[in-house]
Amino acid sequence: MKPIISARDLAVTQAGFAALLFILMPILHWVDDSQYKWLSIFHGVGATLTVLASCYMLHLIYPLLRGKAGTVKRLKFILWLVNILTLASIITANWLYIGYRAPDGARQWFIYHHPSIHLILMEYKEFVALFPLPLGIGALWILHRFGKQMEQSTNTTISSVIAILLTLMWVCLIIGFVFGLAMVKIKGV
Amino acid sequence: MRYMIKQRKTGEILAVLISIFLGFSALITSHIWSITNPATANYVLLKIGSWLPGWWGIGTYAGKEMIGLIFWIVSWIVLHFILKNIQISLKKWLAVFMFSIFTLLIITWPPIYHAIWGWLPTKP
Repeated sequence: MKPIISARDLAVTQAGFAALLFILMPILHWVDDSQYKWLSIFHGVGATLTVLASCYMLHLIYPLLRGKAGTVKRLKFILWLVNILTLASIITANWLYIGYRAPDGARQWFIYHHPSIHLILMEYKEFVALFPLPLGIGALWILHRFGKQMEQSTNTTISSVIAILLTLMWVCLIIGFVFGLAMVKIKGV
Repeated sequence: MRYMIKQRKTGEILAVLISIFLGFSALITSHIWSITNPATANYVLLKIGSWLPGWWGIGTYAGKEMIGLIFWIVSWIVLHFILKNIQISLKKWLAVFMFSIFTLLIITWPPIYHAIWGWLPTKP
């Protein structure tokens, strides 16, 4: 018997609700009275959208490795989107970093109260969060140059390269995202 | 008749992998340089980053980003033209790449490089 609701509809509903609620998290920051409030909302929304889109992107690796027709085109589109979002998040991050380092800002507060948050979490995050951009652009370039070759051949070596680049990209994005969340939970900019 | 697709050489992919590694290494090296020798390094890093809008607030981080960006892009262009006519076995290089990136992710963890090069007091 055909189920009343298809598995796809359920999955889309779940993903939609998760996405909506996740994006609400940075937006609710507007009750803050910081001078850098809007900038931190932009950065938070950008980072959240990047991670959400990258989760969808990561799921396209499975059909890619199985050699399903049309996957290269879909993956290229979503990878374009993730790369643009990553770049936007890096730009807003640099901008927000001015507020983070400003006198009486979050950096000073951390160094006085919890030095390890700045000296370990922030110092790690600010570098690892830059890694996704070269990984994503490299993967997009390989898909652009070798996409047709990949679709016509049964050899999955190049697909494996893409899979590894995108998985590393996703891991670095998640590190930046989680450390950012952990820090803003203690002290926002 | 199926049309022929240009078969590109896998050296191009190797160029992508090596340039990513070089870019990341340059980024981390410039950071460690500013820890071990702040007097010289910070002067250079501030100067390199000073074209970026807001560099006065971003500080030496702007210069570190620029060094990483320059190493990545320049090495990619150079390696692309050197390697694009060479067919290589990707499997071995992919293992090397993964190992290198994981090593970088570990070295970038501050308690590890500070254990080697020491903790400098950071003034608020």
